[in-house]
Amino acid sequence: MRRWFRRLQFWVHGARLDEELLEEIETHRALRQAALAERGVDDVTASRRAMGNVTLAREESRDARIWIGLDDLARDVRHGFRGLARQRTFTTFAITTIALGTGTLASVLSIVFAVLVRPVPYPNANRIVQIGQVIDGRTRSEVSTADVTALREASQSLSRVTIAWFSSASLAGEGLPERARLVYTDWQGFDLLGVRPVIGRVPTAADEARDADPVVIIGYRLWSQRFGAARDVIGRPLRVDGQPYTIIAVMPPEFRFPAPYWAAGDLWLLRGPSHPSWPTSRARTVLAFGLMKPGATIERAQAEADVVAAGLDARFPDPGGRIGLRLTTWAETVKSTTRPRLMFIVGIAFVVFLIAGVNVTNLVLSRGLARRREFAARIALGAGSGRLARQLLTEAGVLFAVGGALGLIIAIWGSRLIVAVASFDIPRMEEAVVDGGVAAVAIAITLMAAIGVGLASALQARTARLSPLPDVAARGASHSRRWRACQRALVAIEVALALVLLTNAAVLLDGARKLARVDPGFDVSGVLHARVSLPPEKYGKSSAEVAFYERVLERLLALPGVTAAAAVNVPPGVGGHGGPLVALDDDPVPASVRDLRSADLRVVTSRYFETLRLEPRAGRVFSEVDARSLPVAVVNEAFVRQYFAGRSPIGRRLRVTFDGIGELDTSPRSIVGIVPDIREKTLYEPVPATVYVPLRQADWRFGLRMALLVRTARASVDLVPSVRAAIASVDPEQAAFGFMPLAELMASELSVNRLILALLSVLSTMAVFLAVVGVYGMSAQSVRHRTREIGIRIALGGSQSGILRLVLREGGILALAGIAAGASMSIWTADLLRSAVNGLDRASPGTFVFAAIVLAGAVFTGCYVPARRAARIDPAIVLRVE
Amino acid sequence: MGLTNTTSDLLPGTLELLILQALVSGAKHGYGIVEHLRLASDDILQIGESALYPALQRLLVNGWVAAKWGVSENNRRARYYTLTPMGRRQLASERAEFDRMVSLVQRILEA
Repeated sequence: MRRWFRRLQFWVHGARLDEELLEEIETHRALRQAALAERGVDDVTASRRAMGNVTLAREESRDARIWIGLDDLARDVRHGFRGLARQRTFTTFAITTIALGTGTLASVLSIVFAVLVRPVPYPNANRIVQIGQVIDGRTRSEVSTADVTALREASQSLSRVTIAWFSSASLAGEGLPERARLVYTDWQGFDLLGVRPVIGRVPTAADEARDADPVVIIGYRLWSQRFGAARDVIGRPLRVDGQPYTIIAVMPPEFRFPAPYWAAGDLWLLRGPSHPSWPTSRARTVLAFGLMKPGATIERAQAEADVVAAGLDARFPDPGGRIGLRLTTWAETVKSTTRPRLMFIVGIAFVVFLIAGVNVTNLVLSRGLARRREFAARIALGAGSGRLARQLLTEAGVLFAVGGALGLIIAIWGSRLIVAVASFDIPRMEEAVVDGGVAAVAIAITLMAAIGVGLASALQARTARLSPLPDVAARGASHSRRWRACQRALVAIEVALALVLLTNAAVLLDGARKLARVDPGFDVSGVLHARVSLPPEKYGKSSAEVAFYERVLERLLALPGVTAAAAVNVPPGVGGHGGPLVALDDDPVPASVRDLRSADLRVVTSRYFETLRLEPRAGRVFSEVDARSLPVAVVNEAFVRQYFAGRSPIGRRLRVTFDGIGELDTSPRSIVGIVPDIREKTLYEPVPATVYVPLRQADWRFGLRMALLVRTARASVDLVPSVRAAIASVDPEQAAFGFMPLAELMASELSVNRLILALLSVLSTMAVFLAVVGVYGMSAQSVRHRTREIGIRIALGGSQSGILRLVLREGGILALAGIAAGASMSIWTADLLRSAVNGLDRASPGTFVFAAIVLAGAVFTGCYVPARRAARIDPAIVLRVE
Repeated sequence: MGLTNTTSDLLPGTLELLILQALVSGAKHGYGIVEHLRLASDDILQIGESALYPALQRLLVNGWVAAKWGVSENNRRARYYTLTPMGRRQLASERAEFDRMVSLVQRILEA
């Protein structure tokens, strides 16, 4: 302890001590000289012999005094800054490169931290499990309320089992009607997550009693936006989908169910598994979560769930096979769904950082070559190699410290940008922030890079030796050639990495382009999309929902510019909603859902086909009359191909199940028409067999959630206020939401990839740019280095084009080496990309060739400029200078 | 041996031990220490500045010697080093250690 203190003292008084030491050594020298003189050695020799190595003595004494030479460090830092300030171009470029590299890395790390590293804001987080159904070995995240009830009764390990279902609702009461994100759960859900409300009280079992006052719990966003964060909001009424509720609590912003989407709710309504609105079968309708008792293990809980599942199989026999239950810890759920995609982005960020690092290494090595004379002189004057290494490490450190600090600032802004651009559902991604942890990891990685670069330049400096002819040493010694080879290798690596990013970007772009070219089979343009969700309490009875749509559509059609309007349960761009749901008239009576034929079901109003500009291929489409006449259906061509082997189905009859559990239409429907296939969702995959059914002839529940499609002659978004007004005039408590042009809804399939595409485009452009700069630097330096040789060549009659070729060949070899090395890596990463991004084709060889050509062109440009310079060398001037 | 600028032909740490020993007989400046060691070793051991001063600095840092400015025989300002009580203890323990080591080496060589 005291020793440290003394060292510190020494350091503080460093300058004085240094002078004292000098004086002391001077005395020593004088004494020795006198002694030598006494022994008869002549003055000059005596003084020379007495001198010894004063500098070394001083340096090493200082080293002994201050342990790792704190003052050296301070001086090196000063020196480093001064050197960097002198070489402005070098510094600007190096720091920018580092800043971009670190910035990219830290932005991406901030997302990884938010999603995978930072602890979840629930006190019980590590005891929460998600419950899924296992059918044919595949785990589905939805389960039935019967599963939940059975688990509640039988499981010893789970103290709480709750459900969650995400929906939306119209709000009325105070303020304007608006849409809000609604979550159905029950009191156990609040208990399970263990989050305290901001104000108010969490619900209890008593709130769910049949005769209890209906209560609603609201979220932070709704509280601050709709209620102005008023403290007295508790106890106020709120109309949700027309029903009155009393607000009992405001939950903090982080309160949300750990569902696959982590959807944040605006309000929560209590609707437990035994609520009459849920089906009593094993139909998958809700998400379920459990809370393990303290000390319980997931294995034990799973074993109990297996017993429960066996019991359920006995109670609800399903000839299709057994339906298992599977518990997954929630942390595992989050990680397994997001890790591949995140890791891919992290990979990209590392590649960019690597390119940045390689580029800086190259810059520093180039600068090192230019400084050989300085290093050689310092070594000759007695600077220890350790001392020199320390200085170069410090210089690299200064460079990376400044660049890294800038990079962190970029990242603060960059992580927000990524979150904003990324429209996809990575849970908790919006929590991404550059905090201490992120900064620490980024700084650690940057520091490692700094040490790597510093060591490389120190190694290089060690080889600097003064030869008797300093000029020759500075120019062409063999070790300097070795360093140049090393630099060339680095440039080739850069080119290779750039190629990897470029091909991946090309593969994605290619995918996007192909997707844009696919003809969806109907006219997407000029159609506005909006969603409506009606409250079951008000619209469940006597076809009220059908009347609602008929009146709304009538008003919409009356608007100027509107040529057609319709409602559909699943609009194009959303897709799905298919499954085993059709039985043809000559099919045997189905024993279970699994015996039905698979098809997508579209419940539509009569002008649906007109709105999409679909003409029937045979027969007719629906008319107003169908609503009140015999049951009918329209099928698409895929349906005819699949189930009628291409023969005409007109006049044949089929039955449809609307509940997904096998309850068929009471009376069969006649097939009255065939419409062309349209690609609604996956533009790559074949169009599924589809059955269209008029809304009026469908189960009433379909009417509760429909999409409105309005075709106009004008730009479709102008229509939004008119659509709102039309709905309000029919029912002021309902609000439409999700307004967007249908074309945009269709395009959102790609939106998942938009982030990766945007990142890859920007980053690969940057990578190519960095590679070009690297190649340029390499060539320029090589030309400078060979000025004399080129001068002689020209003097001896070498042609300009010959010189041009000479320099270009050097760059070309580099580019080829880089591209060759990058090609195999690209193929591998493109496969990786395909596994991370849905709907990508296997990259065609053309894509790779294209990327390689682009890169080769860029590299060529990079060495063309120095090559031109070389070709214009005037031998007279060059040789005279020598 | 000529000008010895390194301690490479001494066992590590031996130089410090010798310096401490040189100071037992009283305060000395740097050159005085070198001369003392030269005379005591019959002209064999000639310590150079680049070995001596770093060693002295280490001793100072450890608090085993103290330094005071005085005037040398040729009327220059010189720094005189004295043993501190801690240095005396250190010398005793290092001496014991050195003896042990030498006898060890000897035993091996004679075996």
